[in-house]
Amino acid sequence: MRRFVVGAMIATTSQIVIANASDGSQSINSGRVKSGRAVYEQYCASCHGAEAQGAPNWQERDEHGELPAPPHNAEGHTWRHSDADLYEMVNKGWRDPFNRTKQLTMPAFDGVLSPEQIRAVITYLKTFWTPEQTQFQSEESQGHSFPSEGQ
Amino acid sequence: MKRLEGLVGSLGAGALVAALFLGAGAIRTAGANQQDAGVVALAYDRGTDTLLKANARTLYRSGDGGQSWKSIAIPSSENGRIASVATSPAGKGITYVVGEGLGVLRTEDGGSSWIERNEGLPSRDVLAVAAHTTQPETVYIIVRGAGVYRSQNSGESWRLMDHSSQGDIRQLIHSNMAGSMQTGWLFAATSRGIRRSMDCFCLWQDAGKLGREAYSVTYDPARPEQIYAATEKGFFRSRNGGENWVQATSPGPKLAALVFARTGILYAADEDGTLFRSTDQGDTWNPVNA
Repeated sequence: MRRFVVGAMIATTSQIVIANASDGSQSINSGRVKSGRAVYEQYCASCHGAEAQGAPNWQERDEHGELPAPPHNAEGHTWRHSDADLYEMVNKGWRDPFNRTKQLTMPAFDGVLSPEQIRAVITYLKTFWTPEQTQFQSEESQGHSFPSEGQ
Repeated sequence: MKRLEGLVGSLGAGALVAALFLGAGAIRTAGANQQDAGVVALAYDRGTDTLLKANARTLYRSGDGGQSWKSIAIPSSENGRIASVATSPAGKGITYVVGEGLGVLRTEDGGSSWIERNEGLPSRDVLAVAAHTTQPETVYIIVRGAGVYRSQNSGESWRLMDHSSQGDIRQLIHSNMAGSMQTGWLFAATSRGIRRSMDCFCLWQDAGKLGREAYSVTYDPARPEQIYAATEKGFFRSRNGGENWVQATSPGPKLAALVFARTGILYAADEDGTLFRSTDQGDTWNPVNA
């Protein structure tokens, strides 16, 4: 019941509050989270999982030497990257140099997602992290924030 | 034996016991000194074109490619032992020395002065150090039982980056090999072979199937995908970032340390201190100070 009340309180504001180790809270735009969730469910969930849990055995290469899609939740490593690096990976994609195919490990969404949609989906991913991870990622993003087109 | 009996007769049994005790102590000290004499690390300072060599107790510098060596005094630590040495490829004359009981020491002037950089670390049992290839103020260390720490201000403060243990680590290096999600890669010589991670610490993995204890790892700065490893089974090379390894001729029976100089010379030190050099990526070797 208490959780319901808190949830209702959050729903009445335009901000979602994520615990933050340094100043107690960090505000995330709830509208951006909502649109980010929609983007995630349409473009990301098929590989990274509906609950951002990642593909099974994501730490082991498959028969093509490919690394399966990692989780974006607290079990993964997404929180280790700055906003700028995450934006770049979604926008341009990333190829694991040790796979045995020519294809990108993470496909590029440049031209598929708008800059605002990329920022929104990254903002949504932050709702899966622990306060410590959120704090770490926030500090990693100092000086490495979203590019101007994603602001 | 006659001389010993004569000695007993002249000095007495008590003196003999004392002499034997002192003798045993001397033997133990000699054993420890012999153990401490083995090379534990090689490093190359590109800013000053200087080669560095360390055993457990002493750091040495050579300005002539290992022909001659001069010891560098470091702050003494009664129980400290040097484990690893790193120079900053991005800075000039910046050297880190770490070890168990020693913590982290940093010099910016070739060893004339040293600063301790242990603030915030859980202990002084530091197993390895690696300087970032392109960021002069970034350095990584491994603290026994704690994990990998990173500093982005030359060791003034540290952040725990990775709790996981990578086994018994002998050496850690940073590389600017392409393909990282962040700024580069870390390679570790471990009891399980060579391990590799992007410097975001997203995922440590075995670099290929070397599958044997590794003592040292280095790479060619001009071709960072070319990696070299000294192992219990000899000298190995990889031309694809550690995915595949080929054994090559080892210059000595037990290589303890490797380093690739900017000049294109690959140096290898045998455990007994013999230094070798190769100008053809390890195809052929010559002793330096034979």
